[in-house]
Amino acid sequence: MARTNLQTLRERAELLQLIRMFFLDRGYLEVDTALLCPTLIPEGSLEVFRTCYRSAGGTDRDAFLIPSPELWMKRLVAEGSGSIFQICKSFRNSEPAGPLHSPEFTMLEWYTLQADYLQSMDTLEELFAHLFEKLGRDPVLAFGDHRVDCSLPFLRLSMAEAFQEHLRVDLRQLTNFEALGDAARSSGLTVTPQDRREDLFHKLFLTSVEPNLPHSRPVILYDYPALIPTLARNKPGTPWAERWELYLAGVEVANCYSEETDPERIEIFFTEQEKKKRQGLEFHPSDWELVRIIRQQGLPKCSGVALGLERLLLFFLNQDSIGGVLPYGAELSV
Amino acid sequence: MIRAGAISKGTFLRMKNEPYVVVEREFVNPGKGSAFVRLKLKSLISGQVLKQVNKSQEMLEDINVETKEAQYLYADGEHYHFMDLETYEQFTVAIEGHEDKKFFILEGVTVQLSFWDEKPIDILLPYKVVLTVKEAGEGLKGDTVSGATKQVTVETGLVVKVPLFIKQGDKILVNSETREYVERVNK
Repeated sequence: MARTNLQTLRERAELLQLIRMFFLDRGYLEVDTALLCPTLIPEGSLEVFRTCYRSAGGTDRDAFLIPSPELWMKRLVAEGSGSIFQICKSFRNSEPAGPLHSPEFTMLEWYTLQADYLQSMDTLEELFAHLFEKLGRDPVLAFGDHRVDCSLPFLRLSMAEAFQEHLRVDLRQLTNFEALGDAARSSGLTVTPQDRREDLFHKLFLTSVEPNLPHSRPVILYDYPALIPTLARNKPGTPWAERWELYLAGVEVANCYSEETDPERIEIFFTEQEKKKRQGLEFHPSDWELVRIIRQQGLPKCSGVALGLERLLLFFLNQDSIGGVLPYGAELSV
Repeated sequence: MIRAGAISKGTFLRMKNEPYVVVEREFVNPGKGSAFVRLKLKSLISGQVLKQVNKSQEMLEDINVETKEAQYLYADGEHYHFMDLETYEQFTVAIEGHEDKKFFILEGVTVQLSFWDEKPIDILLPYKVVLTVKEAGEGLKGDTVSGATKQVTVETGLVVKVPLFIKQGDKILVNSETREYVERVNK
């Protein structure tokens, strides 16, 4: 791998500084929470790093590196922090090697109080506009052969519209295993008994929808099927979850929820994901303390966004691999 | 059987009772989803391209494809003809689906053929192939910037972008996958 380029380092620092300025100016509190934890939020689709804390003379304890700072940030929000943001390292194990992944990466995560996922879309757009303005650049980003015109507004596309356009199916009808299985088979995909509903959805999405998303403008893909278990709130009276992802030239860059605040539903999510974790993933104790805090004090209405900073930097620095925008740290994945 | 996550480019799979070779493999982890593998497969019989997405944990049927050496004889309109140099047995491989191979095989040269179910199904190209330049135009006059290139045609008809110093009759090494010039190999 090439040595870290000092120019890249400066541009990276400048962008991080501008992001901080954006949130501080809007009254968000910057936090820097723990990376090494005894418990985590269980997420059945994520593999974590396990390590060991050896206290002098004491017993060894398992410790885990955070896959995102969500756990602590939600605790802070529940405890009354107000709107907060954080730029920190996050760690994901067993992710595919390649230009878009590094086991250690930088996450920008922010929680806005009294906001939902639609307001977070606005904040995201304002953040981009702020970055272009302060950098004195035209709102155009480059990635490989793609030029992404980031003039506002971004293209807001619902998942149902995307499925209609690229697969000619009504996503509203694809709520049970049979309907999803039929749709997958008619797209020439394999359906196995081990597939869950969300797996079939993802197979369809990854084959026919995601590769065909427009590349010339940023796409905010919103209203994901509620059948994918997440901590996003359900959109009342619909089969959707209040959730979006930002795509730049087909690359997933950010994920947002109107956060689930109902302690019952959060508890169900924890219980189900713990079960999934036991099926072959690194098992870690779940942070039931978060559930307890939310049950006791309530989680105020809020919306959270997690954005992979290196992926954003790829576009701002016109690089084609995460190794090119990380000061160091991509060595493991090459 | 093979786990989808363990599949790599070049793995042979049986799909819909036809042999396929994996030509592209990409891992994808959608936000809040399991790990998936996006595969682009090419039928070794029809050349038809198939796109698949499988969970990394899913098991797929891999097939045993044997390789044998054979001498390339010639191509007619529909087939490439080969001969086993030990048994003198002759084989054909349909050109359809393997059109690009003609740029990298030379009559009389020994190549590797892959066999499935006793039938030759594919021609395996070496990673780099030596080809002779048949036509080399001049580079643009006055273009002395280092890294400047021009196009030449090699003996098989392939057009390759090369550095300006390459002349007609030169032997050059070409990457059979990317079709890119590697180096000059004149003695």
